[in-house]
Order: sequence, then structure tokens, then C-alpha cells
Amino acid sequence: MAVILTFAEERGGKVRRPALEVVSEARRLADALGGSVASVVVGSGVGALATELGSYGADRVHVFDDPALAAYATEAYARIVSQVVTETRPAAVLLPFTAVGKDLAPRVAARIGAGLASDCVALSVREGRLEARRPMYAGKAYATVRWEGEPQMATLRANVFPLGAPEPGRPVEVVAGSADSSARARVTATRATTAGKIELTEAQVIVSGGRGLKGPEHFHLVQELGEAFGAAVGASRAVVDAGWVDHQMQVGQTGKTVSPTLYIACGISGAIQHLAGMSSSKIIVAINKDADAPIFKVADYGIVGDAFEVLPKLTEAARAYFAGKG
Amino acid sequence: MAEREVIETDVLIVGGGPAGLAAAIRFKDLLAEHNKNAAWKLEAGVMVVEKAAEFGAHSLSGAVLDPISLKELLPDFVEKGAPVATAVTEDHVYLLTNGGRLGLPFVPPPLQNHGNYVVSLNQLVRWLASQAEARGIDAMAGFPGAEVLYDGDRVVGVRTGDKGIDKHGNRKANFEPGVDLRAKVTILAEGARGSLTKSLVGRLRLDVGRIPQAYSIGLKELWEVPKGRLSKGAVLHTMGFPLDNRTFGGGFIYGFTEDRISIGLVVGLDYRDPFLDPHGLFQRFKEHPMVRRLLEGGKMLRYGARAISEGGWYSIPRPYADGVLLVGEAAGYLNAMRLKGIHLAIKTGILAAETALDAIVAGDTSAATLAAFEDKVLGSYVKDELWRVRNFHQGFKHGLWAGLLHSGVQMVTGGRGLVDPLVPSKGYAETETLADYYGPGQTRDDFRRKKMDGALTFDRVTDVYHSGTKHDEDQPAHLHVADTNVCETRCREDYGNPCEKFCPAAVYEMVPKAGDPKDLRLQINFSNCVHCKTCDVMDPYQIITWVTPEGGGGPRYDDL
Repeated sequence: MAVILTFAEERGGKVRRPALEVVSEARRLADALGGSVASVVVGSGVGALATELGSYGADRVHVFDDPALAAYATEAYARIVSQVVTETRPAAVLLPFTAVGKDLAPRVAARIGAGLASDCVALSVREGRLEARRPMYAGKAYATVRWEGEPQMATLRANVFPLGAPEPGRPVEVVAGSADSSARARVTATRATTAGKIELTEAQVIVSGGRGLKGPEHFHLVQELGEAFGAAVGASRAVVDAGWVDHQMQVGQTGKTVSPTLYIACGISGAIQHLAGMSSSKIIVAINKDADAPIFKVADYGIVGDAFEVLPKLTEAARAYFAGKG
Repeated sequence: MAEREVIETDVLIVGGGPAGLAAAIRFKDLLAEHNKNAAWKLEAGVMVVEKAAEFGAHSLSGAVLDPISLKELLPDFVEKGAPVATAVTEDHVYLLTNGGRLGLPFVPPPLQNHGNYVVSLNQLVRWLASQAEARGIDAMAGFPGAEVLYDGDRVVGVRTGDKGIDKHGNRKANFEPGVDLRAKVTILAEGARGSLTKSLVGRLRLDVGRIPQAYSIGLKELWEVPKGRLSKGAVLHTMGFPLDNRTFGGGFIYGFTEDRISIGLVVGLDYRDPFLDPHGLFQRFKEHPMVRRLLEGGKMLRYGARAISEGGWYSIPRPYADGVLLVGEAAGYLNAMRLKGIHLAIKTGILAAETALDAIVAGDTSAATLAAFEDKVLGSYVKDELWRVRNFHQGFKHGLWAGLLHSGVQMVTGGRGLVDPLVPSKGYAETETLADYYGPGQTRDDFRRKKMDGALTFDRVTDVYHSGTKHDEDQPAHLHVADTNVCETRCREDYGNPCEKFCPAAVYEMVPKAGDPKDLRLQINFSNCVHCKTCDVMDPYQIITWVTPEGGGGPRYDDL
């Protein structure tokens, strides 16, 4: 029976949402293959996470619980995941395409000699094997790839695969794993630079500001709109280059690639370089004074107007709406 | 201060284009020959450093290749898989008017291409790089030559660029100091307006007695079109539209494969109009009915631009000094009339390799011994060809018709023409002020950029995207402007900031200052830079110096 193994990335005592999306997708694929879903979770004090993983579709969870594994460390984690793969011989191994996933997946793939398709945006089953769809050339083209050999490894882009409805109390088998947790490199401290801010690449709603805001003193209009929506705040390269905001907020070909449910572009012209980073957003709203701005070609809703007028009005309307919802 | 690593080699080649790679390959082959018969086997290392992340990534050209020197370098180049699948099948020259065209009833001999190939220089360089690697040459991509190393006036090598410096000049976590590469012979093969070549020629005054180098800018797009639009191997050259009679240049359209067309425009960098926008002219070129018919419904795949050395024989500096040789377009070995330089790059690379090996065997790499390079060039078809077209570009100083007349006379007089040498082009100094060209009262606000349709014509930023250009944005700008005050005041008044117009990649932008929006300041979007060097050539005050950015950054000219 085919097993699809997933890596359940944990942070702060919870499974990260992208990892749950991976489990949901694994469940869907396993059902199509007539197989089962296994997950591996690594960390310290993570035993309780098996239940949540089970509720999203995992049939079996391999738990590696060890204080020495509290912080993510490449070598030990790669060794452990590889060990699970060797022991359970899954048909496929899926990880989220997060910072950890990007670090871990290639190393596991290299150790076990598996092919790895990264940043996949769709998976399907064909003749008993998987097929993946992944973007190439900053989203200008999409490739459909199939694997040779076993297992078929992939990392899945965050915010693209739907999260299944959890079934609380769904039965799940927990297997306590033991492994060599030693590593030649040890994490001594973790310093979060954007403490409290919503991670751009995982946000469901993003409000971004561009050059149309004229100066750093006006960027607060974007931030206020973001707050009203409970959104993450992004920026175009122009304003990052000009020093208004940090590079961490840059969306685009040379910044972050995001695919939120809602992307609001304020004063952004929509050069291809920016579109490359957000064109897979589900709904795009654009606010720009220039009716010919290329952003309107990709926007679902466009407001041709002065950002200085539109943004405060939009912010007020958003606040009223969300307040009314209670 | 971090200790710089020092790596010693025998031959160091800066620039992994056709000249540099030909030199590397030839050197190794000659060395193997030498060692077959020598009593003492000589071991000599060859290193090629190239700023692009991959060999070929920064190489582009029209291009129609005369295989004469490739055959010398690698006689079995076809069997070895050289990318020469497209033989030239037909040659046409047209004079384009606003809506029509006049086909020349005959193609002038220098523009006849029977026996030549339509190639992608990017593909050719990639293939040459594989040939070099097979010979054990240290082909180091991602390493820019940042600085020439001297011992007095002798060149002893090149320092590569530092890695990991942030935009404020501080070291980042991944800081690595550049390496000092020391060699017995350094060969500069940087292509047109090489940054090291420029400073070396200036410092050692290798251009004394020469006319200044002249340049053009070449812009190119690769298009995918329905099969049958243009025959594979068809070579079309145009004059006239969209250039006026006083602006040097012309268009090219080549049937590269059955469904791919290489198309471009060359514009002389000695035009008079300070508002001239070469990229805009290239986009207009495509709107001509003849051109539009070829491209309509097709898809633009890739874009690129590069300066071209046009000065000809009289502008080539002394190509040798203690410890150093200059080859290819960096020295100016390009036939502007035939529009061909690749074969001369390869040939001068070959001759440099011969010279370098002789010098190393003799244990003497001083200028006196390396001078043999110039003798070899003088005794080869490089001289024969370039001598015959020595006044070509200069003939166009007074316009298209004068140029064609001069060129015609030059063709039947072995290059002497009506006057030999003709008055050289003044290059950037030909640019007239706004007042002189347009009349008093003209300001930079009168500039209108052509509107692009996004299907046949594209704005610069979109084209830059299709050049695959990327740079780490957290690094100092690699375009050094000596005094931006000039930009804000004198240049704005006198010329209207032509850098905003001549850069084919939208690197330079005058933007409103934070305090008073009527004041403008220069913004340098360096990460758009496609390394064409046009700004280094053209700025009216000569205060822009292009230097190498962090290695690996720049365009990706796949198939260009």
C-alpha cells in the first residue's frame, strides 16, 4: 500500500500552516492512490502534535521528541527524515516550501537519491504515480514534471493547496522514533527580526505600496490599510531601493514570491518584475492614478485614483466592515 | 584587513567571450604540440575569469559568423557540435522609408554572407567554454576582473571583485575579499569598452597616436514566430527608418531557425540629438510594415544590448605592454562595414596565445617580446580586412549619403577613400545641447517617450525582464558617477539628462528630491544594468565609470 510521507514543520509548539496544507494534499493524493498518509515531526515537546496531524488526515505520525532537537538544525533533521524514509519506504515525500523546507528537502533528497521537484503549485495522480506542476522563470511558464524512481519528493508552495476540514478525534497511530540527534553545528540563539509581523509568504491578505506614494512619509497609509485588513504589508523594489522600508518586505522577482488570497497594490505600476512575485494571488486589487498602468491588466478590481484619497477611504470602510462583523 | 588569497598561473585571461576562450583553447593546444617534441615538458596553467554566472550569459550579437578563424581554432568544429546549424541562404539590403522600402538590387561584397552562419553568440560561447574545460582550463565563471595589478608599469595580474559588500559599503556575513590572480601573461578580452582595458590604456598611454575609439550600441530581441515567416538563414540588413540621415546605424533581421528571428538595431554613439533614445528607436523599427509583418503574432523571448567598437584600425591602441595583451573588441578588432567581429576576436585570441606561449617558453614576457603579437596581427588577415575599412565609420560623420559615398570610394581604393585618415568621430562630444539641437527654450520636460503596446513593442523595464538580468540589490551601485551635482544642475539644463534616454535598461532616472519636488536627483537602478557600457561611452561630461558589480550578476542572454 502506497504511503505518502509528509514533514510536519513545527514552530512554537504548533504545526505551521503550510505543513498542514501539505498533510491535506497528501491525504487527497493517498485517497486517489488507495494509500495512507504518514507524517514525521521533529522537535522538543512535540508529542501532542500527532493528534492535530491526524485530524488533517495523517494515519500515522513518527514523533522524534528530544530536547536536543528543539531548534531546527539541518544535519540532525535531515538524518532523521532520511531514516524514516528508509524505514517506511514511502511512494512520495512531501514538505512545505518554507525556509525550513527549502533547507531540509534537498538534503534529504540527496541522501536518499530521490528526485526533488520544488515549489510545486499542483499535484495529481496519473497511472499510479504523481505529477507536479511548478513555475519556471519567475512564473512565466509552468512545467509538468514526473519522477523517475522512488520516492517521489516535492516541496509545496504555501498558501496554494487548500487546507482540508479537520476531523477532530480521527484515529492516528503514533510511533515514537529514536535517532541520533547529534550535529556538528548547533543553534545557539534565534533572533526573529520581524517579531509579531505576519510572514509575507504565508499571509492570506497582503497590502503593498509602491512609488506612487511619493515618499516614505506617506507609507503609513499602506500600513494602516494593512492593519484594517489584518494583512501583511509588502512593497515594490522601488521603495525598498529608496530606503523607505526593509528588503524583507520586497515583493517581486528579486524579493519574495507571494500567493495570498487578496493582494492590494497601492501606487504600484505593475512592471513585470513585480508581477513575477504576486501574479498567482487569487484576487488582485490595484489602486493607481495612471489608467494605463500595467497593473490594471492583471487586477481583478482596479481603482483609478489618487492613492492619497483612496487609501484613507478604503481603510475607513474596511475598519467599519470588520467592526460590524464583530 | 582580510588577507587576500594569491593564486599564481601562467596565462590569465579576463573575459570569457570568443576572444578569451579562443586564446585559452589555442594556448593549451599549442602547449600540447610543444610538449610532444620538447625535451623538457612545459607545464603551464591557463585561467579564464568571467563576470557572468555562466559562460555565454553576457554574450550576445546579431550574429552572422565568418567561420574562417573558428576553422583554424578547431578544424572539426562541426563534428564537435559547434552551434552552427544555420547556414546563410540569402542576403538582402533595404533602405527603409517611413512606410516603404527600397531593396538594393545588389548586395555590396562586404555584406555578402555566402559561406557564413547565422549564430547565437551565447550558444557559441557556451560551446567554446565546454571545449576549454575539456582541455583542463580553469574556467571561472562568476569572477569579475575588478582591478589590474601592477608592479611599476608591468602588469602582473588581476584582482577579482570582493563579494559580500552591502549597499553602504559594509561587509555582509558572506564577505569574501577578491583574489589576486598573478600571471606571467595577462590577456584582456573584456569586449567593447572593457573596464580594465579602459584604465590600462589610459595609465600606460597605449592610445598615443591613435584616434579615439568610436562606438555604437546594438540592441537585440529574439522572437518566436510562426514557421515560414522568414526563411532559416535569411540575412536582412536595413538602413534609413527609423534613423534620420545624420544618425549612424541600421537594422538587422536574421532567420535564426525556422521559427526564431534575431532582430536588432545598431545606433552610432555619436548622434547629435540629446533626446535620442536608442531603445525607443529599436521599438519603432519593429513598427515598420516590413518588420511588423515578420513579427506580428509572435512572441518576444529575450532582449539584450551591448556597445560595439566601431573606430576601426586607426583607433586600436598598442595591443601589448609588459605582461599584458589586448584582444578582440576590447582592443577594437571589429570590421564595422561587414558588421563582424567574432571572427576577428577568435583570430586575435589565437595570435595572442601563440605570442604568450613563445614568451613563456623564452622566459620573457616583457613588452619587447609581446610586441610579436602586433607583428602577427599585421601579418594576418586581421590587418588586411581592417585596413580596407579603416575609414568606414568616419565616413558617416556628415550623414548617410556622404557615408555611402565615402564607403563606395573606400571599397575601390583599398580603404583609402577620398581622404585618409578621415576626421574621427567625436563620439559623446557630438551630442548637441538642447538649445543647439532644438532651439532656445527647450527643456528636459519636453521629452516624450514612445508608448509601447506590450505585444510588438515593449518598454525598457519589460525588455530588461526578458534579458534575465539580476543583481544582488544589497551592494554598492557599480555605476560610479563622479559628481551627481553635475546631473542635477548643468546636465539637466544643457542636455536634459541624456542618460535617462541612452541607457537601454532604465538604470538612470532623475527623480524629484524629497524636499522640493522641483529639484531632481539622480537615481541609479543599477540592478537593471545589462552591462552594455553605453553610459561609460556616452555621458557628455565623461563622469560615469562602469565597474564590475559583484560576480554572477547581470543578464542571462540565453540564445541571443
